[in-house]
Formats: sequence, structure tokens, C-alpha cells
Amino acid sequence: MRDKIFQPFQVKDVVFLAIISAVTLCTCAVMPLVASLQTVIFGIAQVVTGLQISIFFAIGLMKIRKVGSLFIMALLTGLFQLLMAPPMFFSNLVVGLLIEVLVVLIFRGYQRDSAVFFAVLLYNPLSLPFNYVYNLLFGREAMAQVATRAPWITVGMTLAVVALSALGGWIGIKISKELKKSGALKK
Amino acid sequence: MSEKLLVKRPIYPVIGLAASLLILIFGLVTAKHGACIWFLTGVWLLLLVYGYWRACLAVIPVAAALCVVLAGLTYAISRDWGATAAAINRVLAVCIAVVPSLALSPIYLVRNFSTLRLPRMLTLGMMITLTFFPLLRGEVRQVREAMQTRGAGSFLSPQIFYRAFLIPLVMRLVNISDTLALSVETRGFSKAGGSYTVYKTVQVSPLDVLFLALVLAGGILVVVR
Repeated sequence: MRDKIFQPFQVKDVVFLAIISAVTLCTCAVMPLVASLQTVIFGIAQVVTGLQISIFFAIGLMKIRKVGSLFIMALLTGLFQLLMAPPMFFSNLVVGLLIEVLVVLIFRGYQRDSAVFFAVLLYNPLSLPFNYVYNLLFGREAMAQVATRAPWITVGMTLAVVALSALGGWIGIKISKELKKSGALKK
Repeated sequence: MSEKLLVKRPIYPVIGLAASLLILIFGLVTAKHGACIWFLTGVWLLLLVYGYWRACLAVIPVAAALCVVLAGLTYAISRDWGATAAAINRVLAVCIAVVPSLALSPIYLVRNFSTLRLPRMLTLGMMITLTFFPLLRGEVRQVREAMQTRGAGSFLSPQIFYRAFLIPLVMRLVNISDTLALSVETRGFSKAGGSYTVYKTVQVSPLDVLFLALVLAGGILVVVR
């Protein structure tokens, strides 16, 4: 019998996703240290947080393989960021939703590891164009200009974000598989 | 979030969130106006009057440091005093917008959401996320102590970090999650839409509405000037 694409969330699922979100937020605490460099180096915030977010989101998705898991993690991390950096909140929501749609259309859920890797790989890099558009719309010229001032830095940083996301996704999946093998990570 | 910054009687949480968003939106949109700084100063003083003095004072050094760095960079790049002033306004808007949430206890926010009958899964998730930070610090310390006891080696080595720190930490997280879920369910929390009561309800007061009205009026004044 084929599994349903949309499965209801249990209390334990939400608890695990909330804990993963909290850990992700903690590990992203380095971001304020580089916040002032955002007008100088394109994508610096995504570079310093890409690895951690990918690792923990991959672990969350490997355990809770339900459509909506990524969105819940994005929402919970975003709610905390709402008052400090609204663009990040909206970026989290839009990117989370977009990836969920893509995963449903391409993989029909997170049952395959490749779907988890795909979602985690895209989550951080997709926030780069979103932030650029947001900065243009809200008149934050300095933040927007940084992308066009030195195109080769923009390309390099984008590739770095993709590479870190891929590495994080791979590590997260590897950790989950080890824990599953040992029986610590159950569905 | 330090408990020292919390206020005894915070502004109604949803109104506080709305006010923060207004401060941020008006601050960013009107950053280039000369009157923006007066709007932000007014809001800061209003927060002082509402008892947020600890959080108001706590953001000053952060705002000052960010202003120096960002305004310095803006001036170095543009050589334009107007753009530099706008950068300072944006930093101040962000720092002042953070004040209501800095001084708000997570439990107060969650009670507010529960009173408003927001989805229980959302309030549960928020509550866990907000209260998990101190617990996580303890877990990290324990894993590091275990590493030292076993003589695992340097924390800076990627292989040792992965094997002796990351995997035990994730294992602890999974165990905590299982225990917490069981504990939550044992206490009668379910996602079924049955009726439930809130231990202490959070009520809106006229002073809260006045606060929001003053912030809104200040913002509109800056825009129409």
C-alpha cells in the first residue's frame, strides 16, 4: 500500500522539530557578529549559518519524514527572528513553503534521503535572492548594492553557501543513519 | 534572553509584537527623513515610561557599537552624511524594535497565544523552542565534560568533534525529545481540538492600546511631514 503524501503530525513530532529548531537557533548565534558585514560581503550571514542549519534540519527531516516538517522548523526559527530581522522571518516562511511544494511535486514527500538532501541543499541558497529582492523593495540600497558591486564575490559566496549546505546536509544524513543503525533514532 | 531584563507588567504581547513591527517598518521606511530620529527617540522614551528601562538601557551599547560600524562603513563607501544618518536610523529602529520582546517572558507570550486560541501545536512548539536554550547549555556542558573524562582529545579536530561531541549531543536531543513528548502527553496535552483552559489568562488594558496608538501616531507623523 502506498503511503499518503500528507500525514498528520503527532505531539512527539512537533516536540522534536521544536527542539531541533531551538538548537539551530543557538548555533546561529554567531550571525549577529557578522551582521555589520552584510553591506560589505554578499551572503556572509548565510555562509556562517549554512552548515549548522543544514546539519540540524537534515536530522529533523530524517526523523520526521512528513510533508510540512521543514516548514514547521522554518516557522519556529523564523518566529524567534521576527523582531530582530523581519526579512529573515519572511525569507524562512517563503523559502520553507517553496521547498515543501517542490519536494511534494518532485519526490512526493521526504521518504527518500535524496528528498531530504534536496530540501536542505536549497534552503539556505534560496534565501539569497529573497533577501536581495526584499532589500531592493524596502530601500535598503547598501544591502542590495553589495550584490552588484563585486559580482565575482557574489558568485563565490553563493557557491560557498551551496557547498556548505550540501556538506551540512550530508553530515546530517550521515549522523541520522548512524543513530538509526544504533537504534537511537526511531521513526 | 536574560531574566533581568523582564518587566513585571509587560505590554500585552500581541500589541507589543505589533508595536515592534510598526517601529521597524516606520524606522526603515523613513530612515532618510530628518524626523525619523525624533520618532525613534520618542518611542525609546515611551518604553522607558512603560517600565522597560532595563531593556532600554541594555540595547544602548549594542546600538552604539552597530552604529559605529555600520555608519562608519556607509560613510567610507558613500562619503554622504545623509546616507550615514539613514544607516544610524536603521540600526536604532532595529534595536528599539527589539526592546518589547527582550523584556517579555516567553511564558507570557505563550499564555497570550493560548488565550487567543491559536493552534496548540504552534504554541507548544514556540514554548519548547523558547525555553530550550538554558537546557541546551547544560547538555553541551555535560557532553564536553564526558569528552574530557574519556580523554577524547581536542575539540577542534573535526573527526573528534563529530564522533565525540556531535553524535552524543544529537543522541541526547533525541532522548530529551522522547521524554518531553511523553511528559507533555501524560499531562493531558493533545492535538485534538477539545476545549482547554489557560492557567493565567492575559488581558489587554487601555494602556496597551494607548502605547500602540502613540507608536502608530508617531510613525504616521513622520511619514506625512
